[in-house]
Amino acid sequence: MNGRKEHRLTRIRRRTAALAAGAVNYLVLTAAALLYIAPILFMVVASFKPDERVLPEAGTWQAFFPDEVTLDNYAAVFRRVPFGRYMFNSLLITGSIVGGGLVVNSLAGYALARLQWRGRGAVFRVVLALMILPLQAIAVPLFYQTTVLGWRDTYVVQIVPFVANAFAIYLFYTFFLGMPKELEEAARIDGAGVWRTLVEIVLPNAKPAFAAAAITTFLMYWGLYLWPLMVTTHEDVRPLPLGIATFRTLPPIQWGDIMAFAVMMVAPVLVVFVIFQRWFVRGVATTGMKG
Amino acid sequence: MTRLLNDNTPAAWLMVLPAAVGLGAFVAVPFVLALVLSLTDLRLGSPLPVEFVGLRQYVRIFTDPSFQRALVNNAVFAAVVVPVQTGLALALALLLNRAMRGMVVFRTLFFMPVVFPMALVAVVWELIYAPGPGGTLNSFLGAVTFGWWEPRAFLHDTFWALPAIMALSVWQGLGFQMVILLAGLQAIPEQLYEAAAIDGAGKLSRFWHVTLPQLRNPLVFVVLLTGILAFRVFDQVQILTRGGPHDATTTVMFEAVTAAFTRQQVARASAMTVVFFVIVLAITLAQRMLIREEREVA
Amino acid sequence: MATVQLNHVEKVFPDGTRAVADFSLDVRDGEFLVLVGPSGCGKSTILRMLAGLEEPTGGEIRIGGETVNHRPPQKRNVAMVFQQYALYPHKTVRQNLAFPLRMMKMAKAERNKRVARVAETLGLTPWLDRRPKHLSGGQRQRVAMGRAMVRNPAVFLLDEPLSNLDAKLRVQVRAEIAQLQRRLRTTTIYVTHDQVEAMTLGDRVAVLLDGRLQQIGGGRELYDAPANVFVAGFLGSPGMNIFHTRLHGGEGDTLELEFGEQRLAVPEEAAARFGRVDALLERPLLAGLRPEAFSPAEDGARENGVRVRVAASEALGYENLVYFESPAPVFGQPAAGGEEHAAARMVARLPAAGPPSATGDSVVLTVDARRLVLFDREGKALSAKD
Repeated sequence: MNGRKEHRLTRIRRRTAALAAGAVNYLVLTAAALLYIAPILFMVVASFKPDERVLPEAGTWQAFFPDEVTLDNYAAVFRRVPFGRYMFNSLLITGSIVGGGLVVNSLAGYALARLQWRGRGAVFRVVLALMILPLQAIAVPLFYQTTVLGWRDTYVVQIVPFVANAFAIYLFYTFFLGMPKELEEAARIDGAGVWRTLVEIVLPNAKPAFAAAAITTFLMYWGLYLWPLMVTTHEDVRPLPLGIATFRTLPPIQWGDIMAFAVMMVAPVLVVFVIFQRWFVRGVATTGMKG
Repeated sequence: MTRLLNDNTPAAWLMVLPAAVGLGAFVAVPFVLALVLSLTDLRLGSPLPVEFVGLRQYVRIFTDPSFQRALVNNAVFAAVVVPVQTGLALALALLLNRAMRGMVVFRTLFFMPVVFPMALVAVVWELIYAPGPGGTLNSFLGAVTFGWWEPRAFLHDTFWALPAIMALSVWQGLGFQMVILLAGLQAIPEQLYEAAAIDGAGKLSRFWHVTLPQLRNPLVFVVLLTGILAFRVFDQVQILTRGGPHDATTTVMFEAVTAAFTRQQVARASAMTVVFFVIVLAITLAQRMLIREEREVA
Repeated sequence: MATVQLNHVEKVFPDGTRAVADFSLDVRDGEFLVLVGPSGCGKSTILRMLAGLEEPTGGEIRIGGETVNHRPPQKRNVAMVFQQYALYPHKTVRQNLAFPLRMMKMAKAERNKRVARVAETLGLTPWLDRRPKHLSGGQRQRVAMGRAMVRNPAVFLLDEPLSNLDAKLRVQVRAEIAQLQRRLRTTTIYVTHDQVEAMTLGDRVAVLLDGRLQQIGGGRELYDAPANVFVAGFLGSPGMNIFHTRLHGGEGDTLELEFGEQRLAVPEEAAARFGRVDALLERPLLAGLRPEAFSPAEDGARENGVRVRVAASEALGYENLVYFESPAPVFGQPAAGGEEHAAARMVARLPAAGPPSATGDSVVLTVDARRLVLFDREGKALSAKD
């Protein structure tokens, strides 16, 4: 009797301890998360506040809990700068880099992983070596080179240099290497040639690699600032990151407007991110595993 | 030589060609160009003929106090940000690595800033850093220290400017590292923990003897990637401080871009990027060595 | 319909591994040939060379009389069933079956007709619109077969097609494959490591070891007259008991075989198979006896009775496998050492009706020496033909 009672007591004690640990975990996480996303809340709230109240109230509770809401800042953004143009440019440039990159890099990754050809070893070593060269290490000569080519102030100069991507090639390479070879062999025996096998059998089964490559290259180039700053001067071809940097210095400096710009700039990506967050996380995680 | 049965040389080259041309023209050629230009005295728009000057550009940049300060700033940035960011990311990953409801929501929240372009982050944080007692961060710090905190003009303060830049960089990059470490944690087989628990290991010793060794490769990757990023810092500096005040926040990349643009010194800027490349190369080689060693052990 | 010939085919991989050495084989039109051997013997490499997935480093491969060494797989008109089936995961059963036909640029109407017919034959009609993921193992296997059959190839290549099925299904599908092949009469080359599949399926069976052909022939021939000790031990489950021995001349013209301390009388019909016996007398040899050469001795002393100690026995229901301590030194095993389990054993296949024997029992077995096989010291079978 006594023993059983004690047993029950320890069980209850243990469960209470587990519950308490869980509650502490939640508490810590919630506090951390609130602190962490405070700047984002701050940005969103400021974008809806009357402009003249943003800065004076920046250090008060009203920074997070506004007592007056307006859309004037958003209207002002469109009035003061070509926001739509920036957005279009960003989408066009990043979209082209990602889309073109998927085609170019997956083909190269496949040839390196699966085909037998003369020159394969050498090309593979070059790709591995180029993987460690960040844009910053070559930005100045690349700038010089594209200036000589007369490419300044174009979309081309913001897209073409980044389509071929050693890192993405490597990502595809490892994915194709891990695919069972029999599928391709079966296709060859069933009468398909190299290209037909690639298009009909390999590519439909490579969706995870395409998702990971699309997401990582998107994250790499969506926020690019240094390069467009170097090679563009016209608003017509400038992307969002330059847009917001310019808008911040455009007098009169109105923080409500700037925050409205910021919200509109990041909102579409955030929506896509929240919907596909599992793919984003997986894409980034595979990057880390490959490292 | 007859073509082998499974030799696909023509098709393979067709597949590789676009990538090879792109990488060659826009990565390999500029890299070689950087090496070559750094040995000349090329200035854009200069009427004087270009001359080969040997290592003179390197001598010049290493005796330039601003560039020296930039190297120091990058090193300090790396020395502070790498441990802080990795430590925070690991702590978050450990908190998130539980079979509890809502973890996905928290993960999403912490990962969110990763999709924020650095230019945007810089602009938002500029407002947070607003000087005077009414600034967001100043009043927050004043509140938590019960008025003991003296308001600062963070971005105009020779001491606080660099930490301010670091803080927003950590905020933006933390989620990326956390996700990588979380994936690493989730890849650790549960049996290892069970075995350790049966062997009598407590929570702390399980962390030291199971978690950390198993997490070695992701940790090495994260640490060295952050190290490389620390030397690439440019956007936030260009937007917020332009290297100031008094070079307090200048960086190698900022010096290089300034040299190339405001002073048209392409050769000098090339030399700086070559120095930058040597640093990146050293970090990458260290990473490949560390990770390979681990593979041999395992 | 086609013949398949391999002439002195050799395959050395870039890392120096010699997977196949001087391999020659003629497969008749419509024949069902089984390549059998332990894993790593080169049988799969041979199949892959026939398919065009690997290129031989020496020799010649002919299909339908034409040399195909350098011909890519899609131009050989062969079909292959893979061990893991290699069904296209993103295509339905129908699309999987139609794929080879589409590659032939067959008209759609004809294609649909053929797919429907193959699906009907294999009982796949209800599952035509499913993807492989949603099929059972047996159904997947049949889709793989169907995809090979659908375009009436000149040669079927099957690479361990049953190894992913459970035991019961394996027996059933094995019978189906045999039936199908007999009906279609397509030249078939079937690779397996399972000797039961080899014996039951093949018109002829080719046994391989270390990339070399050991013996080729009908199942019965290989079982009764193995060319060497490897084939003798490999075929049959359990394999042949092989032991060290010598031949002695007995009274009159008779022959006697050492079986440890004892001697077994060799019947004349067996002796006739070994050729010139005189040269063999008193020389060290190897002898082989199938497990079924032993039977329980009936009462009293009979010819070739041996008394043995039972080491272990397995009752299989329809028969008993009785392992006993070998009176003679067993080939390939250490001579009886100190430890019990190290003792060299032989195995006898006894009727289940007999009394069950327990470990340690002493029993008397009769040896039927008519099916005795003799090998020289290198392990090559002795026969009158040499």
